[in-house]
Order: sequence, then C-alpha cells, then structure tokens
Amino acid sequence: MTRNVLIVDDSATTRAVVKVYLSGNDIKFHEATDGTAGMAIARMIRPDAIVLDLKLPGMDGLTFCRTIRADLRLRDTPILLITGSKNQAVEYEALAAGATSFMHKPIDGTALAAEVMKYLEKKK
Amino acid sequence: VILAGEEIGDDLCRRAERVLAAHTGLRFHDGNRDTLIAGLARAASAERVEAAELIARIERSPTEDALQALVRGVTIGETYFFRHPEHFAALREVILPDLAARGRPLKAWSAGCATGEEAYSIALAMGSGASVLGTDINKASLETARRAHYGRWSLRGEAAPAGLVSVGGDAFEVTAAVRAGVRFEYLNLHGAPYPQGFDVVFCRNVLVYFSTEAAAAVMERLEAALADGGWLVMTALDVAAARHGLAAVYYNEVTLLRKTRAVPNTTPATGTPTIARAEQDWIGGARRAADQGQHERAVRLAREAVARARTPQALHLLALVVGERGDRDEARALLREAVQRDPDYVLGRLGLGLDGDDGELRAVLALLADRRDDEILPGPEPLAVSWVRTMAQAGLKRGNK
Repeated sequence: MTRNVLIVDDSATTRAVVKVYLSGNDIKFHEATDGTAGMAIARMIRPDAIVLDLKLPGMDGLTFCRTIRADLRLRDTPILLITGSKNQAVEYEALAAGATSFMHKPIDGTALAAEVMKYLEKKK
Repeated sequence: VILAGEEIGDDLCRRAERVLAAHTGLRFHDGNRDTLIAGLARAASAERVEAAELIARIERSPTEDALQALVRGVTIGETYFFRHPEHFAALREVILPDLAARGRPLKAWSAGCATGEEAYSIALAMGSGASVLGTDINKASLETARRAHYGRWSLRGEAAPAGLVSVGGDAFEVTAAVRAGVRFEYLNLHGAPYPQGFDVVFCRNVLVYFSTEAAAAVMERLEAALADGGWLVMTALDVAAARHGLAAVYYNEVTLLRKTRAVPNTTPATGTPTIARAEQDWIGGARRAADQGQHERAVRLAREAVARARTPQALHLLALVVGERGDRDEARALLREAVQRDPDYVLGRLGLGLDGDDGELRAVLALLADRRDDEILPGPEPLAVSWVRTMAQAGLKRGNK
C-alpha cells in the first residue's frame, strides 16, 4: 500500500535527501517550503507521516505541531521535527507541542529515513 | 550522509552534472535531480568539505582522487535485501527453471552491487552451488559488502530471510555458507574488461546514470558477458536501452532480457556422449542440437521426430528450428497443423499468436482462464501459465497499437 509522507522544509537539499533515502519503499512524497502551505497539504492528503523543520517561513514548526494535534482528523499523524543544534529547552518545547520525535542538525539522512520508516511500520 | 546545512542549488547541480558527464560518463538531469543533490550532500559529508568546494576543486583540477570522492557520493545506490521483489520472483519462477537444464553450477553477476545486498539476495535465491560475483566502482561499498554485516535497515521492515542470522541488537550477518558462494571485486563499468560467461546478470538502476552512448556501450558489453541463453535483469528504465541480441521476456510487471543463442561459425565436434545418448529421444536430441547452435542437425532430428509421429510437440519443435533458420511460412504451417491436431495445445497457439494472429492470443487467454499460474504447459520449451498469459497480453497490446 502506498503511504503518503509530507516534507515541510524550505531546504531543497534536505527534501531531496529525505526522498532519496526513503526511495523504494512505496512512498508518495508531498513537499511544502513553508508551514502554511504544508498545513494546507496535510489537511488535503492526511499524510501517514510528516517530516518538519522547526524554523520555517510562514507558520513555524511548533505552531504547525500544535495545529496538527488540535485537528481531529490529523492528531494521530507522527511528526519528525528537525531542530537546530542541540538545546534541551527546545526539545522540551517540541515534545510539548506534539512532535513524535526530533532530530538535531546536522541531520543524518540514514537515521532520519529509518525513523520515518519506524512510524510507517507502526501504522501498518 | 550528514547534512551540514549547505544548500545545494540549481547552479551547483548544473556544474556537477557537467564535470560528471565530462569525466565519468555519468549523466544527471532534471529527472534525477534529487539523486544528484543527495549524492553531492553525501560526497561533501564524506570529504568534510562543502559541496561547492568539492566541485570547484574538480573544475580546477580533475584529479582521480577528487573525481572518486564525487563519484563515491553520487553512485552509492540505496539498496537492501530483495529490493524489487518482483525481480527475485522472476528469478525463481522463470530464470532458474530455465537454467535448471544446464546441469552445471550457475554463475551470476551483480553489476553495480553497492554494499552487497543484491549479490547476497541473488545467492540466497539461487541456492547453494551457484557462484555470485558482485562488482562496484565504490571501494568503500565493497568493503561493507565483504563484511556481510547489515543493520535492520537493510531489510526494510521485512523478516530476515534464511541465510541471515541475527548477531545481537539490530544487526544481521550473512551466514558463512552463503558468503562462500559470493565474492566482490572493484570494477568500473565505464572502463576495465568485463568478466564473462554468466547465466544471470543483475544490473539495476545503473545504466540510468550513464549518457546514452555510454549506456549503449555498457549494454553491449553486458550482453557479451552473458553465456548463450543467459538472462539480464534490469529495471524498466534500463531496459529501454536493450539491444537486438537480447530478447525481451515479459513476466508479470517485469521485462527480462534473454541472450539469444549465438550461431557458432564452425560446427562443433559431433558425437559427444550427451548427443549420442540423446539421439534415442529425437525431440530431446533436436533441442540439444539447437541449443548448441547446430541448426542443420537440429532440423534433421526434428524432421525425423515428425516423421515418426506427427504429435503437436514434435511439429512445434520442427516449427521452432525451421523458424530460427528463417522459414517462417513452413514454421507457421507446422504450428497450424499442431493446433489442428490438438486445439488445446496452448503453446502452439501462442506461437501463432506472437507471429501476428491476435485471434490465437485471445484463444490462449481463454484456454488459460481457469489454469493455475504456476502450472507448467508442455511443449518443446515448457512454460509457466503466468508467463504465457503475460506474453499473450503483451502481444495483444502491441497488436492494438
């Protein structure tokens, strides 16, 4: 069964790496470069997982998480939040906002893909 | 890959495309832009420089070291055990039954094997006795392949197949028994001579990175690396470059390429023990002669078989050998007779159908409507029901164009 993964990140490089590292897993990718567009797509396609950058133009990552968690149809969607360099206060805030897990920059593409696959396998 | 935060833009991608095309034959374009970006990020991450600096270095001075650093990044295939399971289904269900008659250990080649998962998967599918060679341009990947040690990620959520044992945590190791049949060597498909005599070659997601001319050259050399009747397994994109010496065989969603038998310039010595014994069995003898490229002998034996009994199979065999010689009218007449004698003779109808008679192809599909996929249909070259169905469907599609 094809799964939908939404990537909300203004970096084309990060989006490319996420897609390439997850290729071959029967996944349809949807991309947005800012939070507002990402939210519109999420509501339309109800993705199976979201990869989200904390620092986004438009709606920022934390607001994005809170909005997803407050939406009855989307609240169970796993979200992998990409945060800047390690910072405990930010991590706490991210989890409180509803991120399922987070990763720090610099991002390890392989680990990121493995984490997304974990979400998708749990949902099966 | 570790993403350090450098943004790899269009301009850098175009520069990378230029140096790769100029120095390696590798071709990137808008359609595989993501692969190039991820590859550049990977190369930069491995070299601990910015991608922009890496490309600038090559532009200044395209040394082998600098180029290798880039090539390593952009050619690391994302691979895992039994990637494209449909290819392995075709290997088990079409290729291996076809090769079973060889009566000798089989040789396979995983060309562009990356970290070895494909080579080990082939070995697992082919069973003990087969030898598998894995080659790649990326030496670091080959080291990983030889270590035969993989994380759960290499299984992509599937259960570990037999031949892989857990070595604690999320790690797996290929068993010594499987490893014994697999070896890895460095090979640049763009350069060095290819190894020869393979029954099966897997070369997947590789040609798509070569320019049209470079891909055609690789294809020609892959064909030469195959033993007669050997099979080439590629992805759909790669198959587009197929050559005339390779016949396409359709199986479910997969297009397999099979090397057609070469006609030797000289007649091989006759009277070898296998042939002498086989003469008891006219059909078998004719088949063997045809397999060995002895066409006149094959035609003679097939005519003798038909003279003894005009069975559908004997008629079909004669049709095949005269057809190979170019006598299409006689071949068609023989097949017509085979089908008249036994209207349920599916492979005869298939032969007529593939020769352009769509009515016969529809008859084939009707005859097979209730048959099991894995049932083998009798004929001089027995075929599985699923395969025949696919060929008939493909034939009908072609006819409708």
